[in-house]
Amino acid sequence: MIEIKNYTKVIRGAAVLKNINLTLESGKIYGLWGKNGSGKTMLMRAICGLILPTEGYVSIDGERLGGKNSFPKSVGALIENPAFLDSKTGLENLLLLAEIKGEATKDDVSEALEKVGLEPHDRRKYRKYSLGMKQRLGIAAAIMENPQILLLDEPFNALDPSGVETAAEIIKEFKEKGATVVIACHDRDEIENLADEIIRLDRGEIIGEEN
Amino acid sequence: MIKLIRLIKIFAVESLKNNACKYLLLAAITPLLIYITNGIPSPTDGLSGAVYRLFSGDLRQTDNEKYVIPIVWIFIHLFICFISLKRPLSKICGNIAIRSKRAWIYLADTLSAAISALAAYLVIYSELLIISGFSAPSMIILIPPALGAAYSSVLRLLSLLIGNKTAYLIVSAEVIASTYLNSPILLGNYAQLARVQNIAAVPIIGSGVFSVCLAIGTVIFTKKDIIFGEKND
Repeated sequence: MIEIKNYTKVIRGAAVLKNINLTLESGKIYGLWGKNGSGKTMLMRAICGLILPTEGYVSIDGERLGGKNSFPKSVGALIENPAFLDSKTGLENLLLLAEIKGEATKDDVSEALEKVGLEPHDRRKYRKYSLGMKQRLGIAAAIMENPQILLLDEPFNALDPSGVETAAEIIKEFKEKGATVVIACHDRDEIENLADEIIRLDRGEIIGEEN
Repeated sequence: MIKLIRLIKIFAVESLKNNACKYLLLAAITPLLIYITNGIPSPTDGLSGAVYRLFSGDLRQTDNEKYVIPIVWIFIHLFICFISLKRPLSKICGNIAIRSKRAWIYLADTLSAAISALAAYLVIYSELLIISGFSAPSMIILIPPALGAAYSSVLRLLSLLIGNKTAYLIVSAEVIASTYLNSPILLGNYAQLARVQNIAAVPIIGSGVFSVCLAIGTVIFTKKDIIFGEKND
């Protein structure tokens, strides 16, 4: 379970997140909805520990982020534009990331690539990938370690209809496995059928929650 | 600890691979640099003598002599600083971050920058060994790599605070200024073998600077947001 308590983040004098209070349970899909600049991405960064709070805290299963627990133990994230090394293939990029934590094996990486519709042995370098392929690789990176928390920021960006369907299937699969899934979209239609709960954000504040 | 070692290995291997062309370029131009510095008198022969000529820096024999810009020394230092600045994994810092501890990322990154710099000295020394012949080396050969590692940590710390380009400009200004100004507060003075009085103290100074920068950088990095990690660490 993820608990976000009185979370405020101020960057260069401007509050990008204001007094956020949320409890995100396992086995559910949460949709963050709001226009550009509403704080969706920043909230995702807060959940995975990439930004540190000005006030408040994020706790994962009772353990606060910060200090020894810089980042959640089991999180997969696709935040904004996926960043990979241009000079490596998709498989090489994921293997590099997998090696850091040492949890995902080569088979896990290949399986994740296949799941998102990419060919593991494609020799093309990342710089040659189309936008849709880059997005698929980003999703593969997020799911390859079978995380307990899956954060996907605009996961359907640049995807064709079959890609959208694949991504939606993956999201549902993780929900069934008991993971906490958070997806952020600026288009409500994209998350309406998927999310168990929709959280509306505006100017860094939660302005509504709907089941 | 195993994860930290794994992270250091990944950072170092990627940095070395990314800089492969620059090491080749360095290997190609080293004979030319040796040829240019052949006129500089050295107190020793063999590898130590060649290292002395290449890294002597200050070309004046007495304080009254006219200042001559030590182009070779400046070039080598700035080139090695440039090599240590190129860290491909900083582009995917956000991706790495959620798989590792915050402090470890900075430690691995700084150590890999130092390894990149030390590899450049290894390239130069290998060529000097071939060209100049082997004779029992003196402690003098430890000074340039020790200072190179120190510079890499200074650069890493500055780039954390003010970005890569500005950090490189500041270090370049310091390197160039240190060839003219003989001041103990300029790190470049310790890297010019012609000015070194106490050879044994320089590696200690280098290690001290490296450790201090590493410690300060780690503290800052653990309190820093990784917002633009994907674009510019």
